[in-house]
Amino acid sequence: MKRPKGANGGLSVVPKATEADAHQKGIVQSDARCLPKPTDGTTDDFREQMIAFLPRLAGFAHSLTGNPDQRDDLVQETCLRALAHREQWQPGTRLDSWMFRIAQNLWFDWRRAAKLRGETVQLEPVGGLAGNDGRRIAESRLALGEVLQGLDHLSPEHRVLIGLVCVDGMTYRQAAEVLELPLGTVMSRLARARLALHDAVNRTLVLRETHRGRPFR
Amino acid sequence: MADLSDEVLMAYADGQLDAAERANVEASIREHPEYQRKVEKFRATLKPVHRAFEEGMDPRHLAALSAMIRQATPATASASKDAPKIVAAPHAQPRSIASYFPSYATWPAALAASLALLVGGGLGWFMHGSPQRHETALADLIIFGDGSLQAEGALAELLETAKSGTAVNARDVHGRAWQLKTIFSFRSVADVPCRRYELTSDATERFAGYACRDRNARWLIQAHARLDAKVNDKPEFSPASGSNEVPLDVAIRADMNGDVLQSSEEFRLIKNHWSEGGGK
Repeated sequence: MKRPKGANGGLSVVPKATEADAHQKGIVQSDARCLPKPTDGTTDDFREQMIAFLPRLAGFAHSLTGNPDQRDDLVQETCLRALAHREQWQPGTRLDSWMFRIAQNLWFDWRRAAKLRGETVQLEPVGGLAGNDGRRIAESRLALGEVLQGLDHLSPEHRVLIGLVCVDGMTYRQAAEVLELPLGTVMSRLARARLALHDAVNRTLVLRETHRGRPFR
Repeated sequence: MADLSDEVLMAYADGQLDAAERANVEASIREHPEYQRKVEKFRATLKPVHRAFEEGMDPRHLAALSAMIRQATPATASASKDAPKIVAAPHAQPRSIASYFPSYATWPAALAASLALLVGGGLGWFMHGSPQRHETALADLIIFGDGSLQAEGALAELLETAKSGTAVNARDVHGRAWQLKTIFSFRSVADVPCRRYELTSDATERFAGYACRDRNARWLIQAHARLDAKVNDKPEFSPASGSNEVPLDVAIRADMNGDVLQSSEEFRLIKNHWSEGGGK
């Protein structure tokens, strides 16, 4: 087996973004969890960074696909695309952003293909529930299935944003970099996505409580 | 006091505001309870959602993927550029859990004879110039070792990990481009998984064959035949009549136990590293 040379062998942390970069419109962007910025996209270090990134990629892929089998497929295919097109990646830029973008594009392709095959790819949107705040959700540990059910009610674009920020933990600015969108656009979409997700999950919880004969407050 | 946008409330809930902005928001929240409700909603969609995904990937699959990333060859890496679909997790699974399949049964004599003919047609091609395998076209795809012909490199990866219909592109040691494609999967009479494949070069060469997986996760070539030269640049094969494709398919049919595997069954086997039982 070929062993990587000079690989760091695991997750690394880069220095935080400079303060000047981190402030814009009063928003502080902390960035303590970035991948190391490589110096050479053709070395084995590239592969090791990719490996260190796999758990994060898996979380993002799971939030998009909604099931473990398709998550694994999406992760694998994303890695192969990245390996095949590594010359397109700019050394010095973030590998995680680049690979998230590849995963997102693949997933959009798959959805289009599924639609062409006549498969159902999204459930009917659900309406919000008036009068419920987030306390009920925040107080309990959400089951993965509940979140995935809620995500099924979001648009693909909103789902991607939830995957980047809420599941992976990217900052708004990093998500904007992945999506190549202005920060303001990302924030307004993300806010809408999160309110929609909250309502969808809340609805699931309400239905469950009702089903058990214990009406939700 | 100005209305607060959802974006600002979200940034506040996420702790992304500086001190001055935070103070402004908190003053507004005291006057407007509806802001507090929104803040709670935003908080409910951050940490609880993040925690819900904590379980993550099967460690075995993660290890397999890591191995694939470390071992991916230039051929594998370039495979996705033009291919309609790419899949590979080469040599990734630990060989110890590779297979629960029994060893091969011996070939029926008549079948063995027909295969000798078939293999003879192709064998001269890829063994020509041996033993210097690096002088041989496709040497990185089919090798002769341990007394048998084995799929290697991108071909082995394809057979191990790709659904039928998957095509990948690879270059041989001479830089010539090949398209490798899985056609279908089946169980042999010896109850091992087998797969038919096709290889087409940019030039005029076309080959097809089938390989079966042994208990050491090797794909052993059972028959490999040169087909008629392409008549045009289309990547698809021409009709089989008059080519070695007919005896090849006859041989496969003779070795096939049951029918061609359904895609769902094939997918399950690929996910299980071609074993019937055990984990994912």
